Amino acid sequence: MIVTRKKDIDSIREHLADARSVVIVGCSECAAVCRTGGSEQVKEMSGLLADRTVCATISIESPCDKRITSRDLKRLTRELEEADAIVALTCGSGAQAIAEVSGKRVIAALDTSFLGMVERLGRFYERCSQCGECILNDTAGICPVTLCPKQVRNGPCDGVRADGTCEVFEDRPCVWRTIHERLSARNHPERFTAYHPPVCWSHHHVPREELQGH
Amino acid sequence: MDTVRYLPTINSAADIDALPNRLKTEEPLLVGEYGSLNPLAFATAIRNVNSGKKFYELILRNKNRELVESSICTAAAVGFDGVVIASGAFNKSDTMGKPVYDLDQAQALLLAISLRRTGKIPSGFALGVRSAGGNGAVRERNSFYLREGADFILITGSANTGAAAPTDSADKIGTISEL
Ligand code: SF4
Ligand code: SF4
Repeated sequence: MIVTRKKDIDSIREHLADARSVVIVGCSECAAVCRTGGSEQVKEMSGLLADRTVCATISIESPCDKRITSRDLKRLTRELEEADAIVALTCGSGAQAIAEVSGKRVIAALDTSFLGMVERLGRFYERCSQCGECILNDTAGICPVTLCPKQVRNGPCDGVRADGTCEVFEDRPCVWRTIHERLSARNHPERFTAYHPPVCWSHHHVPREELQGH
Repeated sequence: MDTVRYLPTINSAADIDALPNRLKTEEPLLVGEYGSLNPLAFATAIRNVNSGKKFYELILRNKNRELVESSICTAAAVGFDGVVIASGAFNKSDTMGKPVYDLDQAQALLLAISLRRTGKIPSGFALGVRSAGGNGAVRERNSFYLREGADFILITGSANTGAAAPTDSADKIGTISEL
């Protein structure tokens, strides 16, 4: 799930500037779970922008999916024509999909943080930083690239403490110690020193694209 | 490998001039990059005051692989006897810069070994790795470094050097003692 945070309302107002009429778009997937762009937050934004005309509000199931956004925004053709801008309570990908589909000026109301694992509402963890060359199968299913502050792919580093805690976060075990323990417990200690070469960044220059099935 | 004396920071040329008061002239010296001045600029100055081996502590923090390669080649060209590959203490709060950890120590070691194999650095240029001492995961990793061709491993002073590598490689384990 994509974890998002609310932007300060003053900065949204500043970017809306002279836009007197707006359509507010929320996301009923990730941003809803984050409570940054669900129907409650769309309502809240509507109240915060009561000094303007809110032509329409809508929660789209996955605004980052242009097929769905395109389908759902068709229902608001008239309102969108009237609106000077769209306020997007979505991740950055969603905000841009809305802009591409609608052709309107879109004000992003959220900051996009990371790909998160959900513990419960309001508690999210980063467990994958999308390195593009997954080594989970060698590391007992624990991602060192994300859990190690130095993103070490062949650890531990020289900073690991004598008691096995991380150099950077004293209250956490070094992830490579945890991996070593788990691999040993599963009788695969030899995987511990399987070599992981540096990530080939030439494959990961932004913007990344994926064209499957061709 | 014995004890190597460690100068973590160089903040002025005077730090080098003062070395004779702090270490014996033939003692091996490891110079770190934590000061405001880059040790690569001081190889000649160090040679003028100390006859022991001089090692450059190559920290990987905030260097991408191109800079790591150029730092190793420069260390060899300016007269260091070798590099000691370290990950570099993490900057948790004293910078707003983007942390760069492009290579880890194993990857940097393999890069350095390939530079030696292809003649970009001399065959006698020593390649060491800095390590925490201890057993378990650390010991496994140290064995990997030695298997892949590291000449030695330096353990920070107080750590458990005995358990840090297979017993038949005990002569390749040294300690670091800060000046
Ligand atoms: S190694 Fe970690 S960061 Fe890379 S793809 Fe796998 S889980 Fe994600
Ligand atoms: S101690 Fe372990 S988790 Fe912490 S920075 Fe080093 S390798 Fe990464």
